[in-house]
Amino acid sequence: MDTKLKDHSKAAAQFQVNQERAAWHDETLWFIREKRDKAASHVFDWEGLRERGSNIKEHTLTYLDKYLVEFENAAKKNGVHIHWALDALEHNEIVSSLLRSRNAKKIVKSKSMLTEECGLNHFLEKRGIETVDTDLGEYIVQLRNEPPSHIVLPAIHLKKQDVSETFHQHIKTEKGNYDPQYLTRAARVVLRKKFFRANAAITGVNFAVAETGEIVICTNEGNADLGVHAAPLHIASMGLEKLIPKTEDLAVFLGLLARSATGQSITTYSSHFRTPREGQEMHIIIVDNGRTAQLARPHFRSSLKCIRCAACFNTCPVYRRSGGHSYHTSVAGPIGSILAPNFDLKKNKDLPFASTLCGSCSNVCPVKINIHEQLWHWRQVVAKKGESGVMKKLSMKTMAFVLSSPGLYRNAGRLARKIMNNFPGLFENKLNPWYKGREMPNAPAQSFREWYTKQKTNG
Amino acid sequence: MASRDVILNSIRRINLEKVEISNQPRTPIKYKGDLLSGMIEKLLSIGAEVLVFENDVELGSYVNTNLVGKGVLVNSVPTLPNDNVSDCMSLKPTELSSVKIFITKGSIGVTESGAVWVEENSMKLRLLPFVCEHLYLVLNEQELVFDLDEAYQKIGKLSGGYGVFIAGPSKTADIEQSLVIGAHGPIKLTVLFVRKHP
Repeated sequence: MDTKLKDHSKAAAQFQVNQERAAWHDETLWFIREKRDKAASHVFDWEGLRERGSNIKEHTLTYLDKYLVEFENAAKKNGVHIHWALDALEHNEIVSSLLRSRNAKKIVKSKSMLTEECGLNHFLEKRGIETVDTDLGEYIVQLRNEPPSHIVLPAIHLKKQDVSETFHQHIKTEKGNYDPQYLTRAARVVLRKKFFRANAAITGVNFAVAETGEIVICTNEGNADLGVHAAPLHIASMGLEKLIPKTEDLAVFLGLLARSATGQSITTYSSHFRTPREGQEMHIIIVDNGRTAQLARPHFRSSLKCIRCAACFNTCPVYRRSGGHSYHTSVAGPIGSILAPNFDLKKNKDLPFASTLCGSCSNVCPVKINIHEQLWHWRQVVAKKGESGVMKKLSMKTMAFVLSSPGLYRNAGRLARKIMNNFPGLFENKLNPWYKGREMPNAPAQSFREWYTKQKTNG
Repeated sequence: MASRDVILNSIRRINLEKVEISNQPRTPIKYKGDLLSGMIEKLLSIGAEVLVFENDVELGSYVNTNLVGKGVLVNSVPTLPNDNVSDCMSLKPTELSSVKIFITKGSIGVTESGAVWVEENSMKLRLLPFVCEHLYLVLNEQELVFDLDEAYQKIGKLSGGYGVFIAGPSKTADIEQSLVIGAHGPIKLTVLFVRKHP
């Protein structure tokens, strides 16, 4: 097992080695950001909708215990079984025990980032239970034994040639045929068989309605519904922050979600499950796994408003140029970088630094999470815990020392300008991180202060 | 202590300052267009097909002429002839996968999104709208609203066990962002509008 701590900037450097591919990834994600902009511009009052979404989520978080109990009571009246899991392990054990008690060995799963977070597939595999991810993007990465690189578009880092190779290897499609429709139809045939043979269907939950106990699942492919409506057992895993108070609130969230995620007005299917089908068993597992800890953190609790649209990923200049795998966590991108340090600060201390703090993420977030500010706050936490690293601590101390003395600052500046102008080569090499991929500017002949003083004396 | 109580206690211990739902008046939406033509335009843009009939009789005759005999057809619309969905009730999923065409009745159409709301008491079998190859949704012109806020006013609290907003045929863009119509659900969706005159 690889126990060495992974670092985003090192992984990003690796990602950048194939410049052409990295540029393609960048363009592709930006194109999706633009689709989001177009969709938002067609909404009568997009900013008003964002404000409603933010307000409902904030309200729900401050009354979370009340809504959780209301949801549980309503769901139980609907004939749904409710389970509570403190952490990933408990969640996985509940799922595994439900499956084993019904002798369920073949499982289909629609997209659930929570089950990724909990490492469910791997857990079940070790216990002899085969889980097939049925979202096409997730199916592709599952065949490749890779984690998804994006929470909405799991295979966004792959080209159609990659998918063709993978399908040829695993489901015997024609070698070299990378027509997306051909490949999708091939997957349709294979996965249909899996849907109908499955003993159980596991899904995530996009929204859980407290007043009625219903859950809503959004897909474009119809894979969640095909799995659930054919299987005798439905297990839905949800983070406890997925609650919203009333059915009518869905108008706001369904209005925000697809537009922010893919630029569609709504996903093809927005399925509302209130009761199990006749003869079926339905279970919902409410999972904490660090969420109540995040709720207790004043600077970071609003990150729990997240509806997992990935608009922040698509706009982030760092994510676009480094790819989801560089973040070494189940939810990558800007939102992942403010969620993951709560789970494990040591392991994820690099993530708040995977950012230029440009604020684009906060700008596109449908529920107005101040992501860029939280990234900055996490940096303070990392520094206070002494996790900054030697170079950072040293450079920050040096900078503080120089900046606190006007005389020292002026002389240092004068010296730097002299060296840069007379010995430019010193800065144009691998030792200078600012020289990677860009030219160094010419140093000005004089500082502003020098120029200003001269102006004053010249009158 | 059960995990449920540990979780609820940790939340209560934080004792957050309450935030109430804002009761700021919302800017009313003045949709000036015609709901039907707006819905048709939206449906076409999301890959659905559309047909408009003057009344139920015309629709029934279309179904008999164009859909019957074109493959296994299941119809759950009581106002259409030969509503045979009850034949399917005891079928297994693999048997249902031979259904080529499924016709069912929606109860609300949302012009802004191109979505049609279909409830369990209409489709009768939850799997049918997903397992068929070509889905037909019948909707009356009067059942159109502009946006989801209006739609949820009509839906109220879901009385049945299951309901779904369907916006177009199933699709995916998971392979290098190339849009493919027809993923796991139906490959085609046709919305059949009926202009019922009171």
